[in-house]
Amino acid sequence: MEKTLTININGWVFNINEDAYEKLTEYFKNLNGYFEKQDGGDEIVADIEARIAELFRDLTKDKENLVSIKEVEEVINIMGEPYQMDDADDASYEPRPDNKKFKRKLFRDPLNAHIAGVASGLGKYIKLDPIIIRIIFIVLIPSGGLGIILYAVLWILIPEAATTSDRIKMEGKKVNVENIENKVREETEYLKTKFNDFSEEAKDAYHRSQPIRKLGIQKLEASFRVLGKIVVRILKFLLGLILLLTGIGFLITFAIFFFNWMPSLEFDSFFVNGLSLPAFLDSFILDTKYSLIAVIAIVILLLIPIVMLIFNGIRFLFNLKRKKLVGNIAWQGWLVALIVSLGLSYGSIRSFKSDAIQITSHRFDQLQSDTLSINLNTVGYYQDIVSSDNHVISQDDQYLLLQDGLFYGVPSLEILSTDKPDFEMKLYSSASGKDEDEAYKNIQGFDYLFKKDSMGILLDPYFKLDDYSFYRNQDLKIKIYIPEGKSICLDKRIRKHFRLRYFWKGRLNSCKEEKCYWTVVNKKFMSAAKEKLEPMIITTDIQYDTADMQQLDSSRRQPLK
Amino acid sequence: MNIEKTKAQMRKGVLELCTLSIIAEKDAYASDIIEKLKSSDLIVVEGTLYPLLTRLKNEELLQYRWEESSSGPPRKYYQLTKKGEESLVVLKNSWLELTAAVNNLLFDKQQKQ
Repeated sequence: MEKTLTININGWVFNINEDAYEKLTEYFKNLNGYFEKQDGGDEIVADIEARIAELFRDLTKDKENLVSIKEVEEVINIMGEPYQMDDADDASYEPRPDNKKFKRKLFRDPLNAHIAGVASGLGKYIKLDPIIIRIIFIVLIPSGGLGIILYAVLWILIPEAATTSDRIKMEGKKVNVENIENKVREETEYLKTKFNDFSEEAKDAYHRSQPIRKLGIQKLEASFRVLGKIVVRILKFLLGLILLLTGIGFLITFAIFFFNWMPSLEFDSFFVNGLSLPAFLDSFILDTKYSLIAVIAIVILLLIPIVMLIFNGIRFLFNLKRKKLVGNIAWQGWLVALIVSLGLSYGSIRSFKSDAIQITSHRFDQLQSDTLSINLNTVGYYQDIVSSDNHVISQDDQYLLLQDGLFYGVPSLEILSTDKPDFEMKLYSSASGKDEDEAYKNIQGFDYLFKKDSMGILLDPYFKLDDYSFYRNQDLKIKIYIPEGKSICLDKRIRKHFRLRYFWKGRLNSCKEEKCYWTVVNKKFMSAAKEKLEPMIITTDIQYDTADMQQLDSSRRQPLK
Repeated sequence: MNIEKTKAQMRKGVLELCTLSIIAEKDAYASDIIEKLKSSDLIVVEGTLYPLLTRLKNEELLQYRWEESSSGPPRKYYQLTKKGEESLVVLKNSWLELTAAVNNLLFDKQQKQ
């Protein structure tokens, strides 16, 4: 099997076998090397190239312009080696050494041209990315149009690299198989575009032959084109608007978290008070020495996409050109930030690997009636926290907590019926850690306080992460079991504080009194009339029953900082 | 002494004269010139002609114009300049002198022997 390439010699297209191509390129290289110092050397080579094309035409007439090594050898034989051609009087008959370094020549590069290939050609000549040369040209435009004049002059002065040998000279590459392949690929692309040009021309000729028809079509085409442009512009404008607004939305959200503009924020099952995003990350998530760097990296990681959204929004809105450079820098910066933040927070991420759950059971031995009252403790240790109904949970003397840096969890509350004869409350505490032991340890890292008495139970609306604990997915589920035939009395305010099933939320919402009663009949909660029970008096000196779990972790409660 | 080298040098010496003479007859492009030179066995490798043409052009003995071709890209058609025509006359005369002298030298000698 042989590989065939397509080349263009002096305007003629040939198919050429790979070995033949190599040989021919070598020959051109030798010619260039030999004549480049001579006056008019370029012209000599170009003339020879034209003749070679002619010879190939004659030789391959019967075989569909396929040039094989045989034809190349024959042509070289006809044309002779460079040293045989030399016209000078002191012509040396020895072939020059082949390893002579190939010198680059300045050409315009039509294959990579934006206008006429001046910048691309210059770039190839001085081995510089043409984008830099283009920038220089553009920068020079405001200074009296110097950029444009310079470009025009160079356009006139520098010849175009029209042939394969010109291209080889222009790039000054050492000729090897890889380079040839690349060049031929470029050349094929170039031919394709040329072909398109031709087809455009053909179309044009077709229109020209029918003047009346042409006029109609042209008008139609023109109006379609204008319409299309307007539609594209409008779509771009809308897209830009959407991107810009989304970006600004994200930016505001980011700023709220970053500067802690709101007194407290609730997300998922947690409730953060007086805590900015960096402080939150630093105090509760990142378990590393380099937490400052990690926080900066994470902030950059979040900011770059937001900035790019806004940037691209503005670009579409005002129809600005795409800045590849900005995009590249942003993308690379984002990658660096991603790697740094992942690297530094790896340990912290890993410490979410294992989960553990701890269940504690509580019975209500002191209960004096068949009704269990579930009350909301509004006198918790959560000073100045504004709950979602703007009710200020009052200050607590027992716990003087820091003004900022509070991290609260919102427990979920479930009320279920049971076959057992007694009321029961189960607390499901869970947390994550890098292994099970650590997960258990992290369960001890948060407090939940409640108080049992003869009436029922007083529940705090939040559980709190210990001051020096990290957030490790701590969660608390409260399940209260009601036996058959017995009742519960729920404080209506519960619905605003706990994570409740929809069932209970609805029931509490439809409840007209401050406290509502339900009795379990056939495992179903039936609404019951208000019983004559003394309302529970809430005082500030409540002695809490601490959950069993808190006694386990007293040894751990040493500050980590 | 390399006899091929000497022969090549001899041909090369007259190549300029012959090329000018062919072009003087009728404006020609490179392939025409090659045809004629080849039929007279005056060149071995075609490549020889191109450096010569360029040199003659640079010495302003020749000039060329581009002419459209029905079968391919445009061709360079060479024609003599005024200076070229003058040079051709001078060269033709010196060729006549040279050949006469050489013939005289070579063949008279043989007859004497």
